[in-house]
Amino acid sequence: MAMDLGSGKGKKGRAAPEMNVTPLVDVVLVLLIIFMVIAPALKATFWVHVPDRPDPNEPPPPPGVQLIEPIVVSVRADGRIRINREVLTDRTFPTRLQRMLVSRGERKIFFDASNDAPYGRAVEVLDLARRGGAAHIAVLTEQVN
Amino acid sequence: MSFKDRSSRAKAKPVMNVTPLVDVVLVLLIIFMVVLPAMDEQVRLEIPAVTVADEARSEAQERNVYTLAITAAGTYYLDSQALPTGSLEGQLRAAHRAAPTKRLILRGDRTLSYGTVRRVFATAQNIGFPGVLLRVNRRDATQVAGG
Repeated sequence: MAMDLGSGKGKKGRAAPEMNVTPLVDVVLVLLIIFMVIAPALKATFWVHVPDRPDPNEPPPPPGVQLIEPIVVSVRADGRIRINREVLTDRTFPTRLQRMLVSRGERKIFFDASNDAPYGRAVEVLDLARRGGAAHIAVLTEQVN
Repeated sequence: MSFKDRSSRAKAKPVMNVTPLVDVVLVLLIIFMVVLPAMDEQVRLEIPAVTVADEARSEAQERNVYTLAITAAGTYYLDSQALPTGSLEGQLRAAHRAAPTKRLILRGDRTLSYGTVRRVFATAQNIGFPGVLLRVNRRDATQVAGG
């Protein structure tokens, strides 16, 4: 009679076995909190401007006006960075860019990369440019040389 | 004194029943684990990481976007719908006309060649998007060599 056996055992003054769930709850709560914290961080974005299309009807600038040469940051196929004509390393690029931006008094740069440069590298350089103080980053839509 | 006597008697210690709590927390955990990868999108790719991302966007802003994903193989997905080759500009133009305030988010695989990405920028320019949001991961600045 299994029933009798069971009930007989239970009726004895023995304590019912209890699992200690506290460590489990601790671990699970920590995991939960980690996931909740990570979730918003996955949503990061990086805004780049797309310049307006050039207006073909726009008159050319009057000859007397000296145009400031814009800062064009570009990434070559081998991954090296150029500001206008000058080739720079990852280490020197942010400080050099910062100096150029300060001397011009505007924080706008144009960006382009070689067709063969990986997109990941391009984003890396965009990030470096932002760390160098470029607030307004516009991507060129035609390849520069 | 009488209180003390009472408590020292063979009374059972009060034990909190944590089982419902554990149930709820486990279910929450599983929901987060399941939803997290699917939250961004179903298209699997490796997106680049930056140290200085934009300021966090609000939930409403996050919803007010078109997401264009480009896989390493060069397939385009607009809001998780695979686009047939060559239909990108038409689809995007129609989408922009339908909701001009929506921004364009680009999820590009990091191994893509930049030429592909530039074509997307040119398309966005033609259509009239003011810019493109690049979907990125956050990265700790201290991990960057030569920081």
